[in-house]
Amino acid sequence: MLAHLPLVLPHGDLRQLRDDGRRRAEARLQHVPARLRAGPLRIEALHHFPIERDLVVDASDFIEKFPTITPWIVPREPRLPTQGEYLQTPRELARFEHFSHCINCMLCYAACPQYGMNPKFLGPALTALAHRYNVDSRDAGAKARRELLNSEEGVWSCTAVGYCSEVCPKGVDPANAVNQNKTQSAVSWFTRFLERDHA
Amino acid sequence: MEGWWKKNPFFVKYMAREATAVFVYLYALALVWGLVALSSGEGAFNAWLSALRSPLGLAFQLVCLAVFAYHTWSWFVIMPKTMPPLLDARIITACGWRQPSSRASASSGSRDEKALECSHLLVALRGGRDALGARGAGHRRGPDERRDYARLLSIAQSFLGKAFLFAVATLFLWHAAHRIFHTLHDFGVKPGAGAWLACYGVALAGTIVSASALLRIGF
Repeated sequence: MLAHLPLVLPHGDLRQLRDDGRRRAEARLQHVPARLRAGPLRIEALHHFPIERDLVVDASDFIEKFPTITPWIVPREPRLPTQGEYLQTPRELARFEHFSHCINCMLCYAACPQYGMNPKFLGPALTALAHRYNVDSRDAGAKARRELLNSEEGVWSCTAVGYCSEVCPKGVDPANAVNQNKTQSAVSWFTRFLERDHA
Repeated sequence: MEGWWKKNPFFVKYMAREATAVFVYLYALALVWGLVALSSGEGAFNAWLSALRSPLGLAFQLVCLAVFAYHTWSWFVIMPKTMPPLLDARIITACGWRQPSSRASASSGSRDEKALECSHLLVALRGGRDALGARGAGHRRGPDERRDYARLLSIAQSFLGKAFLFAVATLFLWHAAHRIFHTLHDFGVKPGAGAWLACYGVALAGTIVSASALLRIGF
């Protein structure tokens, strides 16, 4: 897999970005000439991943972790196409939409010192993706994702550095997803005896 | 990963935020000591007060004030990233807590959060001022220690005063202990049982000591 750099974001892609994502990405690109004026620009392979050659890194760790968060909508009950589409209000859409803009560029993993020190950490993008499904009104899979998210390798490896959200070219704000789930994790720890079908 | 935080100004700021927790920890211990002194009688309280009023005590408090300012500011910076989207923008606008700075115009979401921060800060400031208000205008001619002791004792005897003193001392302590423990890990030190005890053990002990001191003061 090729190394992704914010500099090589194609302009065509930019037009498709919406709202926050677009503004943040444009703001980021405006910084580029200033950074070039400031001195030499260092181009290197993504941090925290084993380098295969030159700028090429081995992203196996990210790819192997991907399915562990159940990254799809788990329906509440079986549903047939004849029952029609799901309906969502703009408010319900707004709860998860920006978390769904992730393009798996892994810049947030390169930006995360905690992932660098402990590769077992689930990391920013995948937590944001898990959160994206958890807060989707069509999804009922939060329980399946909870054990991983609440674990030490889940949200609790994060120390709120916040650099992941800084480098995100799509305005996903993974730090927000991770830290909202810390609250969620703490609440579910305190209320764990109140649940009816506690495993 | 050794020295990782020196390679990026963003990480330097992060580590400054984390390292300043050491002063929060020390100041919290001074507060716990004050609660114990208050519960042990006038003599002990005056000894604590004169220690804080000594040049060294004043220097310590001045350093703490500066460091706390940075520590608090840096946490307010990260706060929007740690919060769920609680409030609708219209509610905030109706409340009049709008912050017209250009910083807030990045997105509508962040404007809510910045405004929320402001309101939090105002509430915190007002709370602090009200608590200090009990001490009077502050233009005293020479330290009137007897009056200080009686005043603080009466605050500590009220239920609300107890809750406030307990919350300030122990939350400072737990917050600082938790951040210091993480910072050890960030520095590449694998925190063992000793570090765990020095952080969380001391926080737990401080909490128990504060609670028992406040109970000893009575109602």
